[in-house]
Amino acid sequence: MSTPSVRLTLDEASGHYQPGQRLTGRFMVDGSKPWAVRASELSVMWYTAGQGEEDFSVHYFDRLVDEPGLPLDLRVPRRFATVLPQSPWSYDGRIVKVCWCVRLRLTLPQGNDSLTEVPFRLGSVPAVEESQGREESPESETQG
Amino acid sequence: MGWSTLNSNTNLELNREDVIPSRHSNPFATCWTRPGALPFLFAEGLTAELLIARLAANRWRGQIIGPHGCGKSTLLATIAPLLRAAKRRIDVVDGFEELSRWRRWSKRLTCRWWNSGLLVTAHRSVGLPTLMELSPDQELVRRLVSQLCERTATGLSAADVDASSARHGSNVRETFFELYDRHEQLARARVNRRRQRA
Amino acid sequence: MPLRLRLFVKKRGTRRTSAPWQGMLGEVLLDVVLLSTGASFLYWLASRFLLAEEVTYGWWPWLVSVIPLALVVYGVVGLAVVLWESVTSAERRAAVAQRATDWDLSGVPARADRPDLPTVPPIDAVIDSPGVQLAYRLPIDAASGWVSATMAAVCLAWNTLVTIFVIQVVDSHMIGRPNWLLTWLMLPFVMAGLWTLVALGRQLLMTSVVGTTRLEVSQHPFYPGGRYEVFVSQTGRLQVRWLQVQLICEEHAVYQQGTDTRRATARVNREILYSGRKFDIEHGRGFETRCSFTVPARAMHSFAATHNAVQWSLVVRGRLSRWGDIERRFPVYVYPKAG
Repeated sequence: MSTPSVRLTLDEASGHYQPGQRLTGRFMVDGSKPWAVRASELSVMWYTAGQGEEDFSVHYFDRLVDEPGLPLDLRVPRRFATVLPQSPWSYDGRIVKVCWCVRLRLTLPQGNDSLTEVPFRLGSVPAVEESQGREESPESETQG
Repeated sequence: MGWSTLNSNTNLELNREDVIPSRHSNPFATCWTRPGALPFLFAEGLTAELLIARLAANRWRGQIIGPHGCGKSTLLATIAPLLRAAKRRIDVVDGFEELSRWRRWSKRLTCRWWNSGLLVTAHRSVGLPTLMELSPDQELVRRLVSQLCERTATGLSAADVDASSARHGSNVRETFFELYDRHEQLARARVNRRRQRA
Repeated sequence: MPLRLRLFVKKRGTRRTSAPWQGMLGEVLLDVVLLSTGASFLYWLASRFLLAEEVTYGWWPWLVSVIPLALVVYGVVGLAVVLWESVTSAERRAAVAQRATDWDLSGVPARADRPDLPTVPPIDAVIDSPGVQLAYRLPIDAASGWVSATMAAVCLAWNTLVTIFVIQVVDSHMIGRPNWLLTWLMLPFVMAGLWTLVALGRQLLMTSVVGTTRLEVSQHPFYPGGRYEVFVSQTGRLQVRWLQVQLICEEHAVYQQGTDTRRATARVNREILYSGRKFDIEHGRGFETRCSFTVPARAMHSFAATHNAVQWSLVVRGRLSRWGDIERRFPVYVYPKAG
């Protein structure tokens, strides 16, 4: 079954945000005729990646439902906006990464889902460097 | 098989500080390597259909055996649709030997009573017909790594992969964890060199 | 012929070996069985005892009714959860859960010392204890204190049991009817008991000889780029080969593979705040030092989720003559700067 062509964009081209900053964007589905989308769910969320199980939390959630008499036509761009929280910051660690994204889930007929994600950065924590934190015995340090 | 180190369209060429962290930062993150995320790669001549045929030939009773991290749960996830399509009562137990002896015995008796099939995974034989004995080799690990790196390129070389695979033997899970660390190491070393040049 | 429900499938963590709907159907059946069992039992209890007009049975039927009531509640809640999970996506469930924790209970004042910082652990345990030299005294990592307590508990329990049997053995010898089988069987247990006593004695001696490590900080929580003071004191009678005070940052990740749990830790930042070599700590005088440090300006804040964490600690590490290496860990918290 083909999936709709989704356009999910953030207004901030760099994708870098600061805590407390307003995040805005839009989403739409391309096509000459409307897709039979039962519902759309937009989440602004963070999740972890790396060597552990995935943790995640949703900061902002908006659901649009296809109703009789009020069909959901996503060819019309829909805007979204939220003020980002103070934490957690995006973090590119060694075994733990904290990742922020805007995720759009479209519920299609017959229980199929279409998932689109756009990552963004919250905060200004640089990636962990390779040399940081290396353990050396003080006795070997002073014996050189 | 070629290995791409630096692909012109990958994040690795960018200053790592510009890269937005995501699950695509490392192709060996657990979200990509956990059972079910990677399809099971069958050895030459073996297919999921053949495995189901073997199970059917043994009156729908069988075991898949192999050491830790060799892909037993991944295999179950891969053949699950075929098991459903068989339209037969089948009990699937992942980690059969972790049940007590009493539970194992009663499970087998219950399946016989209900005329239900029984497919189990275990680290060693539990007395059922062996359908498949998993023993991943270096070639399989290379294929898996190649699949993982289709989405996100890595600076790892074939030698890195082979060395890790040799250290961990058939434990592919531990191999992936080590390759994860190695990928991170290389990526950050590249960032350090760029910073020093700047 | 439809697939039979596989009620005995060993679900390993979040992985499945069947279709989601089959697992759900199994759960629904279990909830229905619990609900109907609880309701039937409650009905019987009520009609037979609770609402009996002819004879009063006292308070015990009311106490017993807690059991079927619990089954009913479990069944109802279980059904509601299964229904909810079957019609909602993971993001929607997480969003609802998040909103629930954000609700303020009416009448409960907001905690001024805890700004709204999701995933940043609270610092109550740290700021509860004022310091003598500086503002706050840091609590030591709880894990260290449990070692002596656990050893003492094991020693006490083991030796109590062994003593009971030893008394019987000695008694049998004293009345002239020695039980040699029991005597020989008890020997390894007695040896093990003596070993636990020796180990506990050594642990207690080490605790008393090595003494207490006290750490105080000028401010808490820390912020990236902030400058702080730390005061360290170590008591005991020790010959120190080297001693360091470090500020470290570690990542922790837990990965569950069925019944196996893999824990990984990676140290990503280490700053040596103090380093000393070859000195003695005398009983009654102790060792004290004070130093300043700066948290890296672009450091990651403390982060705690279910399976992943970023933790900061002040660590006192050293090597002692005769006693080997010591490490005392004091968790600290780095908060994000307000945006």
